[in-house]
Amino acid sequence: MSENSGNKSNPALLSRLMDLSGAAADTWDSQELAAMLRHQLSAPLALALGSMGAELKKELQRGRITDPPGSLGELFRQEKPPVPVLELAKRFAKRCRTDPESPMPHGIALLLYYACIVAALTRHSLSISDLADDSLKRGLKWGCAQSWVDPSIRALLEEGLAHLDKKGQK
Amino acid sequence: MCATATGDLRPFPVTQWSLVARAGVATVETRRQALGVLLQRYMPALRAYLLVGKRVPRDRIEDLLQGFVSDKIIEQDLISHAEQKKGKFRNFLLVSLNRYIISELRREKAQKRSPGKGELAPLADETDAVDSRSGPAEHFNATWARQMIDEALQRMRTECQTSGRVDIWGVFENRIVLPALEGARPSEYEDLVKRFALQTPLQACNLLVTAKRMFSRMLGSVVGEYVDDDQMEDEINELKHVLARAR
Repeated sequence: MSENSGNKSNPALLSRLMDLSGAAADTWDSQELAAMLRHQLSAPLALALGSMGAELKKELQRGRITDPPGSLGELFRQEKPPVPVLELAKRFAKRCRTDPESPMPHGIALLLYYACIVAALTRHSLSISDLADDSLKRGLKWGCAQSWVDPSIRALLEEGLAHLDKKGQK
Repeated sequence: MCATATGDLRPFPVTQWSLVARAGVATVETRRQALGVLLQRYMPALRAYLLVGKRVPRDRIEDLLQGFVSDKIIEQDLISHAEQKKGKFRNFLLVSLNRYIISELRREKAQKRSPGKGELAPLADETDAVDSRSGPAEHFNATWARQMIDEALQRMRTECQTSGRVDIWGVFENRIVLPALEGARPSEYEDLVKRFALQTPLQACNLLVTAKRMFSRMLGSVVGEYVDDDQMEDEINELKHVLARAR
């Protein structure tokens, strides 16, 4: 670094570079989060599930999952998404969400978590989570309010809200 | 540090004031090598201190630094007098340089040089004390901190290139380094995906976390060459705060 290179340098960012933790969360803007979500939804399923990809392989070998969707996006678009895949995806998202070392942006992990729960609820009338309805509703409202959420996922969350409202009226 | 055939520098495989200690030992070749690296590392910060902090005329700076190196560091074996327990090595160097400048100023006054021939301007304070929070010392420390970052980045880039992990360096450089060093906009996520053929967001995020951890490790290795392990965290935090105060 020359003595003159400091003219354009950002002292605040240079200071952050020296953060000993080394794993400080990066800031992604909403446009980038939207791009990341699109990428996550279109990636091959086994890759998209990260470390759970190995679990997916085992379930396929056991025959518990047959004819899996090609991606998470496809999973959420299906009329009857396979429940074992929804459960695997939910576990992957929960792991990303709760692990402080996880590099996945928290919002994307949380959104996927809710999407899996809602898909099971609305397509199979099945609960794959211990979340109370009120907590789930709050989560779905949060998801719908994010500007970076994919329209198809937003539609799924809204379907979930309508389902819960109807259930609450009974 | 030892120079490879290509001129790249590789770290000595030791820590704890290793460079300083090696520069103070009796073996001529070891001293020469270690001293060379130390001077290369510290010179920009010392130069900045004289130029900005002490307002030494630009045309006098190199002479003064050359004199400091030959008279104090080499002839009087200054480095071997640096003792860890007496405080930070960089402060030791700064005090030593300050003393040298003052003695040069007094010598010139005694010789009654005529003005305008590169005479040193009088120092506002002719004591050799260095207040580490004063403007001049802060400037030295800020330049020194940037030098540490630069060295750590060079080591990281070299390691990534050597190990074939250009993706780690590339994501780190485009997302973190260039914005910090050059005020550039961080590369957008989609650009990174295309450039490095990233298959999932998790892969991209993992690369960034790996890169940050690698940089943190490199920074530790650079700082560890002049401070003890138990002082490293404090030293890095201090340099971090110096940078945060810098403009």
